[in-house]
Amino acid sequence: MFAIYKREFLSYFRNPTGYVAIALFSFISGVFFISMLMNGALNMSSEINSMRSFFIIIVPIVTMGLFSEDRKRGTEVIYYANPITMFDVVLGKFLAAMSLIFVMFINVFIHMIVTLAFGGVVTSGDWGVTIVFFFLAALFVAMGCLASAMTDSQLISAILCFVFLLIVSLISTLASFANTGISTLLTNILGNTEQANSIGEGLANAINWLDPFAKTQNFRFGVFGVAPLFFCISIAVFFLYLTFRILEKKRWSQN
Amino acid sequence: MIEIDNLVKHYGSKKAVNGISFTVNDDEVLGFLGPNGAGKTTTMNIITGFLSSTSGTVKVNGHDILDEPELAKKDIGYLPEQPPLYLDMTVIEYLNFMCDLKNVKKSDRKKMLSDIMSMVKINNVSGRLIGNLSKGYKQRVGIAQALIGDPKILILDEPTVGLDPGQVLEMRKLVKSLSKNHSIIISSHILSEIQAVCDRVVIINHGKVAAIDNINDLSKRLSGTSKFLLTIRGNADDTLAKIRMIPEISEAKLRRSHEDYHEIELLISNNAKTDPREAIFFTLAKLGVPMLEFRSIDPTLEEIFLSITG
Amino acid sequence: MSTEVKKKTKKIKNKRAANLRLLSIGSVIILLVIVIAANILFEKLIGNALTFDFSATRKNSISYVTEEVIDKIPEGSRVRIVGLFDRPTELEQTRYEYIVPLLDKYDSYGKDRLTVEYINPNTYPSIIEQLDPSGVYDLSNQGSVYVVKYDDKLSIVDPYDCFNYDQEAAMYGYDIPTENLSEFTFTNTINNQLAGFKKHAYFLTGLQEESSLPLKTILSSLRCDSQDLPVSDSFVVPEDCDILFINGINSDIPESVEIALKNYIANGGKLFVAVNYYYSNAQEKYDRLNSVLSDVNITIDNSLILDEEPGHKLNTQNYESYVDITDDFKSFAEKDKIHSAFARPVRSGDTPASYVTTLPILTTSDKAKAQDMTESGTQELEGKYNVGMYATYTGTDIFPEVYVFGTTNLTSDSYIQSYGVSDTNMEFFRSCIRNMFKLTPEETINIGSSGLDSHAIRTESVTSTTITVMALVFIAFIPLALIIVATVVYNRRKHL
Repeated sequence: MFAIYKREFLSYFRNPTGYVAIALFSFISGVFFISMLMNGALNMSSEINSMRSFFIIIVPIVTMGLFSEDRKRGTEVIYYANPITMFDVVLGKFLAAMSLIFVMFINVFIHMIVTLAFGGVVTSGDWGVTIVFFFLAALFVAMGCLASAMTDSQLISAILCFVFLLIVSLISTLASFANTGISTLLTNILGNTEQANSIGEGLANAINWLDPFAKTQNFRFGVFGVAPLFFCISIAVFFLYLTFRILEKKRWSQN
Repeated sequence: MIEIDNLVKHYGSKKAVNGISFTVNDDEVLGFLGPNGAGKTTTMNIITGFLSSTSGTVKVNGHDILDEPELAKKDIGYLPEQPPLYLDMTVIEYLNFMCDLKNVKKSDRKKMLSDIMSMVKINNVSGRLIGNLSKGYKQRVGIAQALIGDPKILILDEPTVGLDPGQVLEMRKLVKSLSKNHSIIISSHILSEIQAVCDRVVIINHGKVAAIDNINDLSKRLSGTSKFLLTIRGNADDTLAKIRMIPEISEAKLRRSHEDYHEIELLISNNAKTDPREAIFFTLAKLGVPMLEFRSIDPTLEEIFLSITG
Repeated sequence: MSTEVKKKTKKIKNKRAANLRLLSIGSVIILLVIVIAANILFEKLIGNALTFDFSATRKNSISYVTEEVIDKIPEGSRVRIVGLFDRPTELEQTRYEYIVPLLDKYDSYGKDRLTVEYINPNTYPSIIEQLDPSGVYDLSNQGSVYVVKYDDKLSIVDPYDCFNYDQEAAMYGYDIPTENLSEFTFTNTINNQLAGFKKHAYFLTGLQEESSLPLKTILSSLRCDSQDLPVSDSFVVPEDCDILFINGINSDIPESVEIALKNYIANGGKLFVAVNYYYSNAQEKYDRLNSVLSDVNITIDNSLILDEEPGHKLNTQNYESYVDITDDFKSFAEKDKIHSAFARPVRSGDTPASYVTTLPILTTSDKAKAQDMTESGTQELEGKYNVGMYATYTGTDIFPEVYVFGTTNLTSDSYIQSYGVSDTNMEFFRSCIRNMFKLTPEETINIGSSGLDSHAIRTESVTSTTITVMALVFIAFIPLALIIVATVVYNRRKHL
């Protein structure tokens, strides 16, 4: 596993991908930081949370080539025909992508030091948001891995990953759409507005239960919960397992 | 030692491999011969654990590739038809990565790499980017990666495709030297390739074993038939008619007609007692037809199958 | 027959792939089920136990006081806190940041006895009827408020009221919160619903007085509800008045009030007077008020105290200083000094009645000056002055109590909103009220406020040059350097 991790992590720096992704992160986080500096208040949580909304661009860049390139160039044979398990491969590549995201995040650590130097504060909420950042990153990178394993084109994989992340970001919106839609529909059928509304709301709650952003938002206020982190990591494991299964499928598939 | 028993692989309704069985003994070079699409690559992919068979077993030194894949794969070095190279790495980076992957001990690594690199003659390109190397060098790097970890079994899928004649010769030399302490399977669709380096040959067609034979026996069997290509200028029909009258010629046909010359294919009958070449020369001389080229041609694989099965 | 054989062999041959497919799909489904089930269980069983409040202000935690109040809810009954709006999803930078996670804590601690719900009346119109059947609270027009309901008692908590705001900014129309009172507000509301109010306070109005909103909140935490009592020609002090506040009035009381108050004191009433010396009342001598107070041998002077003794002077403000708490009242606060500003001297009267006892409460230093500003100029007299006095009767059956303060720093909106409800002055005020009503601390609850998160930086260290340098480094230099490295690496490797 370590061999794959090492190769994959270094390969970000053998070609421009890694540098460009870090530069992009530096630039965007820098803009946030400076605009806060000009307002005289440095709120690290709000910077980190703003950076989180760029996952939708950064994660696909980081993950798009992980598996699709191997499939396209035929290098996947290396993993199938050598004495390692596919899970080592998936885990190695996943950790490599996570490490790249960690390297990007060093920018924020620098901003934190500057904040302290200017007499600002780095609160427990800021650390909470940092922890959440990495757990959400793990979840999204796992989704990116799956997207990358599903195709042999980097572009398609990036688009797929983008769509996955978009769906996750829109869970609350989808929930409210589902709520209104079902409520209106059932009101017409049942004639009882409140009953219809409660079914709609139940559905919305069920959909919202899947929202990792809502689950983790209290970290921002210094409330640290293990359950939301467990949620992120277990869903990430699920996606990694799915990735592993997709790669294994190549062995026995008859198509 | 590899034991392959009744291997079957389906792709949808197509049977890429349909019941192949053979054994590769220790320190033996086995030629794996078959036309394109015969199932050579699929069989090799199954042996290396890349693909799983629909049914049948592969045992590598006694370890089943499905039940104990890691033990089995440890003994195999595989060079696929398309060498699995990371084009954005240098040769040395890539080989080091393969060492990591195959768990080569740090202490052995330096010596192993320098041995392998001098063996396949890539010392001079070790710092270069693989993507910038020529086809021949890429193939050698591919062989180098297969040799890492000192596997007892080497599986080389069409190792000479795309190489120039000099490189082909070097490749043969390399395989010969490796054969002293490795079991090697080499696939090819060219007979002469196999004849040059192999001890035994497995011929497959349409996913089935057509023949398993010692290379010398095979040569003998094939030498019964010989085939010539004759290129002439002049009237093709007259020439054909005259040539057919030579008793040793069992068949003569016009292969291709060009503007000012014709290619004629001649088959000499199995029971010919004398060499017909003299007779052909005098026939043409009598006709006043100039002979542009006259050479013997290798039988195609299809013809070999015909001759073997027929 | 041959087709039969063919079918059979095909079946056998595909068995391995079929098994692998089954394993593959099956394990994915099983894992998915395990993941979801484990998450639901985790959340329900140990999710709360494994949630920790690490915030510096502990703004998301409930204090033991709140836990005790919730514990007091009788088994089988329930306090409902209903937010009449959809649960806010975006909390950041809103008031709800301090309220929603906190109420979640109430909910999880309260189990069945206290629930927090968010029910939007637009979606569930029947909730209004359910909470307020009589319709007296007009809930449908209250906007986004919380309703606290216990039995048939109902209180409305507006999220806006869960904070103190900066006074100065409020004058310009900005609400800049300075203090978080969320737990204070909700727990007091619940406690008052459980215990009921014990005492009734009246505030004299109609005398250009300052408003007393935060003061009333503090009183409610002392289980004392507050009502306004406007002055009028037919002024009487209501029967149920337990304490009458004359707070921050800027004009003297009318005659009708004077008579009523003299009567009130004679019958053992309790009076709390706080006035100051400011632009708005500098000319006011409060003759009628003094006439009332003379019954308990107290007089408020029409002069302004200036205490420049170094131990008492408060930084740069001229008329703001510390005043000492006298020994008799030491137990009222942990510290021995409280803030005073623009104070009038309060002194014993000239004609003491034998049954009246007066005690000084707050005193200045020996070096204080009382500035008497008349038309002919300012006269100054140096000495030690009282800023607060207490009076009662001794040796009689009736037992009036009067607290008189020459400063409004114990009662004014602006003070409470600048220094918060947990400040020493407020601690002192609470002790006055507790002492008057003989309340033990157990009977009332005392919840501190918590601060707000501040991300402000030392502005003096951030000059425009620093910003420019930082901007260059973070926005230009670092990304550009990375791009340059990328180009160099790419070009060098390309030609390897």
